[in-house]
Formats: sequence, structure tokens, C-alpha cells
Amino acid sequence: MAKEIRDYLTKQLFIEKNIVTFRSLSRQFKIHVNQAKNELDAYYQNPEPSSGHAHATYLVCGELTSVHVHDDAMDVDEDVASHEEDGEQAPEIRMTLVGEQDLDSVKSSYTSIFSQHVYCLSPSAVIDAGLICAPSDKVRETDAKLKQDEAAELGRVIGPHVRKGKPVPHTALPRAKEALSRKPTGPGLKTAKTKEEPAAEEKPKEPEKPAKSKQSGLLDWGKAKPKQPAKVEEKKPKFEEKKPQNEEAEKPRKIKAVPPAKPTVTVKEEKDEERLPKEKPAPGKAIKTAEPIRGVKRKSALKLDTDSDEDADTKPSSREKTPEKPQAKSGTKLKKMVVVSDEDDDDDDEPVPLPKAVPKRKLKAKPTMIDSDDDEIASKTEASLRAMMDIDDDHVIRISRQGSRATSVPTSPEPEPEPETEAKADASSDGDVEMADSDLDVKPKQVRKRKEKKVIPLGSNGLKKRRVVKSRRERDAKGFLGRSRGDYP
Amino acid sequence: MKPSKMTVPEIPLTRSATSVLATPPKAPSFAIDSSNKTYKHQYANIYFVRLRLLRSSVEENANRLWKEVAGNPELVSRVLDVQKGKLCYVIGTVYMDMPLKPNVLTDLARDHSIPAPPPREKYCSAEDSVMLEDESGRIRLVGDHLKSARLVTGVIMGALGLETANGDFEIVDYCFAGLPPQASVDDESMAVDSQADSDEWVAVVSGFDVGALDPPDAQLQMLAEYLSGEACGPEEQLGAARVSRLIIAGNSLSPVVAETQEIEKKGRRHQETITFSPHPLRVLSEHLTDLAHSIPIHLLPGASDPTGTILPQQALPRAMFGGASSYSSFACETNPAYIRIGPHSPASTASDSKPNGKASSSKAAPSNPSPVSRTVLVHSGQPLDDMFRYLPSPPATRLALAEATLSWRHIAPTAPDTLWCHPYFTTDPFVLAETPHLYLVGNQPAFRTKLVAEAGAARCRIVLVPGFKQSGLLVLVNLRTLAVRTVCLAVHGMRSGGSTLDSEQAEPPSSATS
Repeated sequence: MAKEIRDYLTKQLFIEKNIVTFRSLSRQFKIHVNQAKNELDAYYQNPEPSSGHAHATYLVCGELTSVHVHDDAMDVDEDVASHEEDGEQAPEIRMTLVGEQDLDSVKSSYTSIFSQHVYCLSPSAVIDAGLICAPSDKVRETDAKLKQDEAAELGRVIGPHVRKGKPVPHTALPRAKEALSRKPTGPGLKTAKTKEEPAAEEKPKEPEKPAKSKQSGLLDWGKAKPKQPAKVEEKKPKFEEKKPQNEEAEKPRKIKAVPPAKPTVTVKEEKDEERLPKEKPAPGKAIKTAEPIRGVKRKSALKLDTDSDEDADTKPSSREKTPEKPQAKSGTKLKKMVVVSDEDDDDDDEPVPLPKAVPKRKLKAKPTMIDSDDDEIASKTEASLRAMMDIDDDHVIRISRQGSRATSVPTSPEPEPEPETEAKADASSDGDVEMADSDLDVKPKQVRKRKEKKVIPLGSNGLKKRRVVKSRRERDAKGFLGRSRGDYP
Repeated sequence: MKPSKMTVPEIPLTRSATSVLATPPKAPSFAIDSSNKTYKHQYANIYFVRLRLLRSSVEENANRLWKEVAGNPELVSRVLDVQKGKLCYVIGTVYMDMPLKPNVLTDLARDHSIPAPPPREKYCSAEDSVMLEDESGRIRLVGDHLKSARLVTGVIMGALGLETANGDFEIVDYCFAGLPPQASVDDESMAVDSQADSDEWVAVVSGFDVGALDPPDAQLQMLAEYLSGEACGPEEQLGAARVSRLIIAGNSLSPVVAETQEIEKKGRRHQETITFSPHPLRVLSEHLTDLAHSIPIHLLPGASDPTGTILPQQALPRAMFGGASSYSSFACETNPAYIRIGPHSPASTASDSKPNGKASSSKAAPSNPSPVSRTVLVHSGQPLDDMFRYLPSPPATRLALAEATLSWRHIAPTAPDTLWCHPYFTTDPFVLAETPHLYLVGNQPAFRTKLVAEAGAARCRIVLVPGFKQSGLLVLVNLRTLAVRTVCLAVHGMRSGGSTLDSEQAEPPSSATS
């Protein structure tokens, strides 16, 4: 071993003219750093006769004679230097990297020297201190591959609190489960960055803070307007901790993770989709009771039976769709749903056709179909379903399942000029009928809103024709000459 | 002289472990998340919130001090209700009207064809006037006592005095909110000195300035080697093993310098250094990875770091730091940040922040008989630097100013005025609800420290950490006793990027007066 080291050193120093630090030597031969220092020193003391002397750089560690040395380096506040006595003094250890030529003078300036060892060997005196960083690349490379205990063998001091893995945010939630919040370490721990964690965090949070989630839930459902996200944001300050921040950060991420069925997602929307899985726990009774209620609310005194059948079809399919959304939401959503009473009541007072008045691009989760007075849970379930149904066709995920046809039924309430609509038309006829009356008022408005698509004629050269109008030079009111522009298409 | 042989320890040393606990419920979070990320609000809200939060404490203090004073002063609730000639006291926010303060109107009005004048070092001048303001209005304060008060804009103050004939309020005495209450620490542990060997220390450093034209690469490497316990002899390695955390308080990357600047450094005409790297971030991540292999790190952004300039600066993204980000013990913090450090607990159980908590059950590490949890408030120095501009410096010192912020209960009172700040609407997170045990300010020109005591009990250790590039100082603070040590990493006789301590002449450092 000693021979190998000597050979290595000779080669590095005198053939390749590299600097060898104790660290690089330790990594190279997998020896402890202290042993490496000894080796370097041994080599330095007994050099190879053929190679000549290596130059040593020492690291001297000790206490200095004067404690105020570093004040001299200040050039900013000259006056402060005179205020050295401001504050307390602290004992200082000084480590100086010094070449062998200056070793004695440096050592004389120390009151007491704790230790001194060879830091590195070089073929000649080191002029630029940055050169000691050159072997560090190799050191770092090796270190990256070492495991923790191996590194400890080599002299690196590692504690139990230094761990690989993703960090867990330290929340200030006093009531949050401590196991979740106090883990700075632990590679096996799920972290806030993973999808599961926010769900898990939400679950314990949900029962603890139903009130707060109520609020946010309310807003999502009730207004369904673009300013909704702002409201949700404002409610969020209640949380005022890092955890919600992480969650908020995660929610958008979760949204992206959800199949791109909803590119027009907003925070509200994300709430919607979270809510939707919640429907699962309240399936049967919600559906059944919701039907007659819904029929009542609608302007058309429409066949509740057919409606219920349809909805019975659609509900399972919509529920099946929800498994795509984050699973963990299911258990907790119900609670959110329970709470949204007030807003929904308000919304119910608004004219009924609103939910279907959703222009194609906008998503409105208005549960106005629902009379929430009687059965709030059911109405919320209904509301969420409605919201889901109001999704633009483009964003709908086509599932090739039994209920897929039925799924697409409620999502085409409007007369969208898309081929899919035709395909569903027959299947969705009932759905259309259901919505028809409520849509009647809306449709004309909607249609009016849309711009007619102009057909631009093509000329003989294949380019679109453009209207050309002669322009005249005219004086306008102020007397300026100008071209009057014709009618540009 | 032959150095003695280094011994190789039988059992590898292990580091004293601490863990980061959840921030105390009173400590505000400086993270700006989607809930308060709106910029629509006026900044005036911050002042209102601040006044509301601190008024009661100032009132308490004022009543305690002045209620019994001869002349029967009484608290006037609105500043405008002060009557002439009557001794009374009012509470409000200080506003310093300084003509030299950067003013957006003068900036707009100036001639843009000539370059702007450089920012002033001090805003104070002879024409300054101090106002006291609250929701109703403001009055000008006069009096000799004011000079000793060392006021800056935004401090909530109570002033005892009377209104003079020309409408100014002549001050006789003033008071602030005083030190906030502190989370109690198990004090009995502080009396036991015999446990000193197993104490945990926290290392603080700031101002690496990686990417500057002459970065302190050698010192950084020495720092990494010292903290990972490889440098020096066995005793120092043991000392380094007791350092349980490293806090980097800002300015890890140097500000981007325009290419046209000439580099003037003696002995160097051209900037050809071996360590020149076009990727300062990569160099920094390598250093951080080196450190992260062995010690938990808390990294704060600073004035020159690539993150927003308005306070509170948000945490740098972990992904920027390559290898270091794979360590869960590498944490990026906001600036300022509250870090609560407590005894280490193994992953299975939750650790309380109670001081009589469990001893760490790590096997090889020295067990922790006096577990103590400390709240650390650390920031990268921008608030203090900004406040310091308001005060003439020979009488005022940075350390005294840092102490004053504790008694003002606000770490950045100049916040919306001259210190760029996020427009908070409902809260003012810079208000100190409780005194931290350790108050660290980074990127200061010199190392200063003071233990602030109140009523005989030591309350808070203030440490001003100097820039590493200039001084090479690493500050170590004992978590249990709040004692401070420093380690200076220097290079002698070699051209080094960093400290100007050791000039290139081979003279003993103690006599260097560069």
C-alpha cells in the first residue's frame, strides 16, 4: 500500500505535474483522511531521490495573538472599526493555508497552534490558491458514488439527520399530525411533492377544518365565475402556513396530472374535480332523491321518471369517470359537500337556465337545477355532477365503456356543431329533452352571441379575395389632407 | 518542524444531530403563496396592520412608564386630538421625512439623458423631520430627545410631550413596544456546564459570492473540508462534528457584473484565473453538494441571489442545486426565515418542541442530555442595511440597530418606504410576536455579536455575520448556551480570490492593515 501511494504521488507530482491534496489521496486509495495526511507527510519527508522535492502546503490551525485582525479588512465603515468594543468578543480559531516557505512566519503569529498538517503536495510552490480546487473534481466524483457509511470511513462526519430523499415541509400547523410535519429526514417518507401526500394531508385536515374547507368549497360551487379563483385565494389566507402553500402548489400540479381533459382549469375547477370523486360515497341516495328535486326546479315540468332513468345511467358513468381523478379525495369530499349550503341557496335563487347558459368556453358549475333546501347533500352531488357535465366536449374523456354514451349525454346540452353531437344525438335525445326547455331561453342568446363565420371567396390564383376600394384624398375637419379609407374587410 | 502523526479514529465520528421542528405557531410564514400573491393592494395597509398589531403593546408600555408621571399625562387616542400645551402621550407610526431619501417623483422628474446619480450611502441630513402618524393624521415631532432615539420610518412609538405654539409636538420621552415574550426554554439545562462536550452548534455563514471575478474558491473548499470533519487534527474534527447545521444567510451568488468593468487587483492585470468558471451556479452546487453530504444546510437568498428583490424573498428552487437537492436535509428557506431547531428525533416518533423532550436515541452520536429547542430568526441583511442608511453612523452602530429592532418588535420597519416589500394586505409578517433565541443577520461588514438580556435573563443572541468573501469567517453558535465562536479560514502567501486579510506579502497577519 505504501509503495502504491508513493508511486502514485511520484507519478502525479512529477510526471503529470498535478497537485495532490489529502482529500484526493484519501479518495483515491480509500483511506481515512488522517491517514492520507500522514502519507503525504511521509512522502514529503522522504522524497524519491530521482524526482526531487515536492512542495508542501500546510494547513495550520490555532488561535491568533490578536483577535481584531479581521477588522482591518473593513473598508466600508471606517468608523465602526473604532467601535470594536461594540458587542462582545468571541474566541476565534483560525485556519491558514500556507506554503512551506511562509510556514514559520505564519506559525509565529499564532498564540497557540492546535494542529498542523500537510494539506497538499505540489511540484512547485502554489501561487494561486484556486489551484487546490483542481483535485476537488475527482474528489467530488468519488464522493458522489460513495455511500454514507463508506464516506464516514474515509473521515467524513455524518449525522443521522443527513439523509437523502425529498424534503418534507415543516408546517406550522399545531394541530396537524406531527408525524407528517416533523420529518426533515427520511428517504422512505412520502413528501409533499408526491401526489399521494397532499391527499393524505388533506384527509387529516379535512375533519379538522371543515369550516375552512367549507368556505373554499362554497366558493367553488356557488359562483363559478372567473373571479372565483380570487375568492378562493382570499379564503386561503386562513391557512397561513407553509403547508397550504405546498398544497396549492401541488394542486395545479395535480391538475396537470389529470388527463388533459380540462385545459381551462382554474383553481375553482380543480376544486370541482376534487369534489367529484366525492360523489362516490353518496351515490344511491343522492341520485334518487335528487331527481324529483331537480325536476321541480326546472321550468319544464318534465318527466321525472325518464329523467331519473337517464341520470341513473349518467351517474354511474360519471362516477366511473371520477376514478381518474385523484383517488384520495373520495373520503373527504362529502364533508365539503355538506357544507356548501349557503352559496347554493343563493344560487338557486337565480334564474334557472344559468347552468346551461354556459358558453362553450366557460365552465359553470352552477347547481341551479337543484333545490337544495330539501336535501343538501344530494343537491351538492347533483351540483358536482352538473359541473362535470358542463365540461366542454373537447375536454371530455371518452371512455369506452357501457356508460360512455350516457356520459356524453349530459355534456352536450348545447347545440354544438360538432360531429360528436350528432353521434350522440339519438342517445342523448333524452338528455337534450331534459335540458331542452331550460336551454330554450338560453339558446337564442347563445346563438346570437356567436359570430357568423364569414366565407371568404377564393380568387383564381388561390388567394383569398380582398376588397379593394379606391381611396380619395380629403380634407378632414382640421384641414389635414388624408386618405379616406374604404371599407376594409 | 515535523508535525505529529494524525491518528485515525477507530469509530468514525458522527455528527451531533438536531432536527428542524415546525415553526412555532406565532412565527409567521414568509412564503408568498397563491393566497397572498396579489399585487393589487396599496402599501398603506401594511402600516395600518402594523399599528394595529403593536399599538396595544406600546400602550401598555407607555401606561406603565408615564401614567404616574407628574403632570398627569393621559393617552390621547388620536394624534390630531392633541391639545396645545397639555402634557399627553400619543402612539403612532414614525415617518421620517428626509429629502435625501430616494423619491420616485424626483426620479421621474430628473433629466434622463444623464445617468442617474449613484444611490446614496446615507439618507440622513440636517433637514430631516420626524413625524408621528396614525389613522387620523400626523404631527411633527421636535425635541432634543429625538436624536438619541435613533428612529427610522415605520417604527411604532409612543411619545410623551406637549404641543407647542406652532403645532409641533415637543417630545419629553418616548417608548417602544419592548422585547416580545419568548418561548420558554428549559433553563436548568443552561446551568450545567459539564455537558458542554455534547452540545450542538449551529454554523452560520453568508456571502459566498460565487461567480465573482475572484471568488473565494479556496476558502470555500476549506470550509467544506472543515465542516465535514476532514481538515485539521482530531480535536478540530471532533469540534466540527458537533456542528449540527449550517445556515447560509444569503448572497451565495455574486451579482452579475457588466463586462465592461475593469478588474483592478494588485498583481493581476488580466483576469485569467484557474478557477474562472462560466457557470457560477454549477460551482455553487458543487460546493453545496460537498457540504450536503455531511451536514444539513439551510440556504437563504440574499440581495445578489437570483430571486425576487422584494422582501420577503422566496426560497430558491431546490432543483437549481443539482446534487444537493437529492438530500432532504438541504433546505431552501425564504429570506427572512424562522427556523426552529430542536433535539433530533428518529424518524418514527414525533418530536415535540418542548424543551424537556426526549434525548435523541441515535446510537453512535453522543446522546443529548440537555435537549433544547431554539428559534432562530435569520435574514440576509437587507433590512438592517436599509435601516442603517437612515442613521448617522458614528453614534449609531449596526449592532445597536439590530438590538433596537427587537425592542421595536419589528425586523424591517422601513419595509414599504425604502425597503422593497411585498404588498401585504392582512398581515405584517415582519412583526415579532416572540423574541427569537438567535437573531442572525448576514452580509454585514464585520462580525459583531451581543447577548441581549432583559431582567437579568438572557433572551436573544444577536450575531452579525460578515461576508465570507471578505472575511472568511464562519460563525458557530452553541444552541444550548448561546455562546459564540468563530472560525476564520485564511490563505497566506497565495493569490486567493477571497479575503483581503492576508496580503501577498509574507507578513504575519496580525500586523496586516490592508
